Amino acid sequence: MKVIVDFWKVLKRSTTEIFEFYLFALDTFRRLLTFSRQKQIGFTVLLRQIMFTGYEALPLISFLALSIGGLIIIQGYNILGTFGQGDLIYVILVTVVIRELSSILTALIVIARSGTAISTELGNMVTNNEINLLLSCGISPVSYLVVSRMVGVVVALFTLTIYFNLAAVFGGWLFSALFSPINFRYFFSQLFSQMTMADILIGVLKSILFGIGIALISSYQGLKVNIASTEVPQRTIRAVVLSIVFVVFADIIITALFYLI
Amino acid sequence: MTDFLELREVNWGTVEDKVLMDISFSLSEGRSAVICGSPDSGKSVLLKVIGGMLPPDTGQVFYRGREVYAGNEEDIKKVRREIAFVFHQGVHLANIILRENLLLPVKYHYPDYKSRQFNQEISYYLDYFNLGNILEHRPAEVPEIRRKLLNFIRAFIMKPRLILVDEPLFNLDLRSQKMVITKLKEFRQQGTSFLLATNSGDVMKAMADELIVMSDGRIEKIINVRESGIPVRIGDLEFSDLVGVEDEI
Repeated sequence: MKVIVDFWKVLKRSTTEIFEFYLFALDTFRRLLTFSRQKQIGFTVLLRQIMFTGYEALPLISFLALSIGGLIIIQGYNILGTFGQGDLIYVILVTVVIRELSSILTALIVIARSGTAISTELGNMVTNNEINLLLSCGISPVSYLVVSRMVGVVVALFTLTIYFNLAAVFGGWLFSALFSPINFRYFFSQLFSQMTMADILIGVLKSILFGIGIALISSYQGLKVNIASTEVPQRTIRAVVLSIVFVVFADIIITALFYLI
Repeated sequence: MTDFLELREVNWGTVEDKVLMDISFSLSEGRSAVICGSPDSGKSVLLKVIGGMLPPDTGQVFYRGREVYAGNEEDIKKVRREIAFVFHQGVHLANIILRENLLLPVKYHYPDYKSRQFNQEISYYLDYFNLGNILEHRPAEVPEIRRKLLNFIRAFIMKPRLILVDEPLFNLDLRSQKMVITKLKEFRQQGTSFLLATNSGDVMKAMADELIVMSDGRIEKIINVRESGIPVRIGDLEFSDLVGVEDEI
């Protein structure tokens, strides 16, 4: 009996939270439409978010993308070369990096850096009365803090994903030159011949969706902090876990829709 | 005639922990009230309900005939432009410098503001409170006493019709307390209304037209101070008199 009662409580709490998150997301999109009216105060937050999520993540993204591109080339040449199918390396690079890894790895880095930062910062703002300060001035915390962060994360994630693709491809070319020196122009023309419009569209769609999801989940969890600072790390962990689950699920669904249907 | 500020049967809190119960009172324009009561009486929560931070569970708050939690963003903005809030501690946004903090409501409510005019006013108050050149610092870099005084400046430069102050003298030294009370009196004489949550006898003497006595989330009584004067004590509450407003200011 106790198990059923506990299960019912968890179900009720989860349903309430999902409904609250839905309302929060709806409010954020509604306020996104009027964001330009508050550019005097929200624009600085937006620029800071783009700088932090995008520009300051470049060294880590560069390192990861160059390494991933190189590793795929090394592994690919080893396996495909055995069967005399070396040219398939371009297909693998496009499929693995451009269609899949770039958006998901970039999203994971953004969750680790910016998702945690957003929920921690907003959580601390709640406990320090800063959210109340905004409310007392008539400023909506969703307009000022969430909308600008969401736009910032989407712009940064989109740009970082493109950058990741370019860096990974460049890394692939660098490493392939170790095995058999290859003409730069030939390498890229072969690579681009394997790319389709769907590859580009899917990358764009994923980065926008991931950016919206990460920003909304992290902001929601941060603002759900009630009074105690001990709630902040708990909410941050929750933000990270839920963001990862969201990104993986969304990735599976988008990939399935584009390539299987 | 429509009241300047009116609360109708306001309730706030959880079922187990009701913080405000059936709060109803009104305030005419130009008049000021001090809300007093024991620390858990709900006076700070009441100020936050009026200040737009805690929507009441039931009941309504009206400002100049307009319900403060109803209407669209623009309606709420119009109300908030005329009501300022001073927190009991020096609350500022931690990740921007103090100048940006002071100008935040100005930029929001007056997007085409003239920075020169506001900067002159800010300079005047900085001189008045002897705060020196601190505006380029972040809040964490300045002492609490200065952060609290900057809260008052943020409220004053908006020239609001109603100022809500939670524990006006909390965390201030004696000299700052006197300066704050003098400035609050000046604003009051110019017609600004005040609602102040405090048990300070000095503030009551300087500011109160009415005394709203709260106990366990309810209004116990409302005393018209201009008619009956300020009581020395009500129940367990003894009204402190540290600054000596009448003698020294």
